[in-house]
Amino acid sequence: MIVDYTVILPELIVALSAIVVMLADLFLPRSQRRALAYLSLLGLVAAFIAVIVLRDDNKSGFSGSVVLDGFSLFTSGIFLLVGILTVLLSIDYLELEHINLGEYYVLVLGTISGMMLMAAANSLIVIFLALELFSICIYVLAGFERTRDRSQEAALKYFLLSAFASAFLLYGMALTYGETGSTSLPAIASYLKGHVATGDPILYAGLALMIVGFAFKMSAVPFHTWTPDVYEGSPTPITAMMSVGTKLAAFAAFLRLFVIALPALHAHWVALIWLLAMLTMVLGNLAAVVQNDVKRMLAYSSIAHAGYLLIAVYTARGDGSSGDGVPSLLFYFVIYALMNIGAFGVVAAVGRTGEANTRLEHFAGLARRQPWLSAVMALFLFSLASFPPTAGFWGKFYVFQTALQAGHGELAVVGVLTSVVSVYYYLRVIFYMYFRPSTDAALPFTVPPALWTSLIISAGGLIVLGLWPSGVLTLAQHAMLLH
Amino acid sequence: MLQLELITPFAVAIAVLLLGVTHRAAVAIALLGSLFSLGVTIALFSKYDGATLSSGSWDVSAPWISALHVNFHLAVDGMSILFLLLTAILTPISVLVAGSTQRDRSNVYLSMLLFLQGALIGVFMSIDLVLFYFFWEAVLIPAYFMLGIWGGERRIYAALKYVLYTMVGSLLMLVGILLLFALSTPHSFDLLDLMAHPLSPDVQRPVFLAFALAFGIKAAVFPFHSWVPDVYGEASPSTAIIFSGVLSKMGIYGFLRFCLPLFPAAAHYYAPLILVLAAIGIIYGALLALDQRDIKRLVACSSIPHLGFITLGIFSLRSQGIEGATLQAVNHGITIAALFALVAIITTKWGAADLDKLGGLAVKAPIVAAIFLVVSLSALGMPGLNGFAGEILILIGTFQANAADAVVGTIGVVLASAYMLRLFQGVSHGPLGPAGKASPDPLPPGTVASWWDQLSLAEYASVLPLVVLMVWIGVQPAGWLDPALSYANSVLTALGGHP
Repeated sequence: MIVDYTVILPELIVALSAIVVMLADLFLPRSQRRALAYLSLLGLVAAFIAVIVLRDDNKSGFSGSVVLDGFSLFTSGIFLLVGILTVLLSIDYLELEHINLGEYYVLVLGTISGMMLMAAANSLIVIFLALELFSICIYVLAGFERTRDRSQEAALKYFLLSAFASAFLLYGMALTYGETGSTSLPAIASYLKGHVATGDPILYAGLALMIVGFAFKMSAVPFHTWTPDVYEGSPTPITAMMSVGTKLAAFAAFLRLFVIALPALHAHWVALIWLLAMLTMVLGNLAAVVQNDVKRMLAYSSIAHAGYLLIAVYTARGDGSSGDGVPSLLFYFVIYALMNIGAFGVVAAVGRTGEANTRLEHFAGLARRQPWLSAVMALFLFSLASFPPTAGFWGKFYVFQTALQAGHGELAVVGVLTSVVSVYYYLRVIFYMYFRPSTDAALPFTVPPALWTSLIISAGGLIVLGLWPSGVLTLAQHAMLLH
Repeated sequence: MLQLELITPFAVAIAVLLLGVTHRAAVAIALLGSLFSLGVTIALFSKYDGATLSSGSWDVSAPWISALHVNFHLAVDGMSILFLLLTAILTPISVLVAGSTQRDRSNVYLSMLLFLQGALIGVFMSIDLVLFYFFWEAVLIPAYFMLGIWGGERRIYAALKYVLYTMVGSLLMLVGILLLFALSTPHSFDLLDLMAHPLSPDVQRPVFLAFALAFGIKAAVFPFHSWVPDVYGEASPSTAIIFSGVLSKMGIYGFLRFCLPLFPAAAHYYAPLILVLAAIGIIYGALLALDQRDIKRLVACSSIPHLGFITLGIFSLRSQGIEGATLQAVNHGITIAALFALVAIITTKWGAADLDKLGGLAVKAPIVAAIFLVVSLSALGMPGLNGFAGEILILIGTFQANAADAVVGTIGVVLASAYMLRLFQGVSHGPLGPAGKASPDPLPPGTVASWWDQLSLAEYASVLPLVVLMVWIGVQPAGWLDPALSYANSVLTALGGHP
């Protein structure tokens, strides 16, 4: 049998560049470590080009366990964007923290390829393998600052809890396999079609356990408790990557698994998603209000955004009809990636050595000291708070629109009311930056060019998508799941 | 033409931000730009030929986000041209007042002001509901900075209060817009399409409420008025002018443009309730104004009853009421802007805003006192000045709808005389107040400053055009009423009945 490697071409390019970076690390002198970052960027851009070249393909490979469809290509594009922005954030950060080691980029590339694979997986086994691939990389990356206690704490917490959640997921998968006799998603679907009214408790238990596993990675309430500590303790570029990448990987695999393999149980799992969405929106936003550390506030805000994304999961049917949540989820993620990584990038710039300056008072008077940095931060925050003319507005608009068209006004109303709460904590950062004078603790600092590049990509993307969202929207609407 | 009208302020905003390196340069660019914008609007107004929205003589439509059925659809009719004109008149006034009262980061402030103007023009021209919402929310970003950076001591509180207050309403309106889209057949965000296929009466009510809440908060309808004294009181003079003059009219415009024609049945159903709320607001706001010692807060509170009056006219659902409300929206914008400009002049001159410390303006600066008198009379609805024409029409309309509400409104007119005259007398009459005595005065006692010493050229330029407009509209209201009347007639056909 001839294996069609083009099915996983983008993933392959990223994985290969990880190996290239690892080998180059052996031969490069210490002073040349920056070159590893550029090599990684090269690999990510090459993979992005591969995604563009393959854009109209629709096929599956490796005995149907991996698929290449509009959905996996679109998510791959986002993952690669996340990777590129993360590497740009990391270059100077690593030098500042004296942890400029080659492994870092190898692990980042490993994470990205694992996430891409998870969104393309069409079998329970591959979903789990991909999940473990990127999770293990992140365990190491979260604790990469060996000398900082918070980073150690983050790594350990994430490792223990994530292993626990993985076990839930695996147990659920095992039960599902035991009931349906297959790990392939289409095979599970066709089995369930014949036995729809079984009402077998084993299948329901499997369903519930898998939802727990995914909800953990999505950081949906009540499985979110690890998020603030891990996000706060991890190196900021890694937090930025996790807050978007891990979530997207979990949401993408969840959609593929539940929409393709388990439509027969739609009424059951969708009720749980409704509950998760409500809880996540309300608690995520309320908890963010009382945070005085901007990095920790952004961690809670990323929980809140998971709530809005769950609305899109709730309405997801994968058939491309007018109330289908899948395109709105993909579109939201593009914008979410830009604004969230951008905001964490500013936190990295303001935080400086040891991330000692991430509290609100360190942002006081920033507008006078760093007018442009404050301006882009304001843009990211307005976008997170979904103000037009920034792109964040269109993300929420589309999600709420699909909710209403699917006849679920209650989700949109709760979404809207919690958004008002979110306005409060996002604008609080802006009023510290613009309306408060600097405190004595405020030292002058410079923003390195690589970080600026990342911020400009994010900010430019948000303005362009705010005024002309049509192009990416149309792409998202054509990014169908391969059935 | 409409594109030019919309783009000009944004272009000027960028120019001011980048080129306005000194205070004078920033003010000069902003002033020239806003005067150009005024010229464009006057040209538009002069070409007004009684067209309605559906006749489509001023209509720009282009696909924008076809995936979401959102179009870039702008159009102007008799009602919106008046709101555009008001925006265009008050922006240069605001620029002038900013130029003479604040110097901190002028280029940033003025570019925010012009960005705000651009967004307001977008609000007043958008026919696509999503485009309308896009501009409606975009207004909040410059508003937040203008309040939070350049204002009084409690400015941060005021800024947050304003944004959060309006956000609650606006986001529910967003749900209303989305609901309207989901319920309409065929699905559309376009006002003209939606007017052609109205919703069934029982579905109209919840959607109407979502819209009315957003507009009611912006227009400070009782009981959503409590942000007004804090926000106007803490805002810088220039910000107070544009906020009270134009931003509060966004809610009035929304009532007129969307609530009435889109939900005629719900408007009839809720009109009695809103009339009562408006009547309460008139009395309550007047009592609040009577209770203030600070002249800036007094003027701020005075806008609550005036906006109540306008709301009364709209929800009388009668031709005269709607016509008068439209005109009164313009009138109130002009009058309140002049009041805030005068308050700024008095407080900077004498360093006090407390009525107990003021007095004797007529002795030291009779020209300023005379201007102040005309503006005060306009605010209390003196015949011959602009306020009268609007108020009388509103009262005629309201009498037809509900006599009791109209009687309450008439009491409001009396109360308005009380607080406006108290303001005028407290500032102008009597002996020189403690603040006036304390301020250094090179003139010997008993002498009067020459007219060029009483006010600077910029100060004259910021007040006199408004006084001219007050007299003009007061003596010759027909030219201003015709566009309002043509709108009132077109909306009455949608409302069905009571011509």
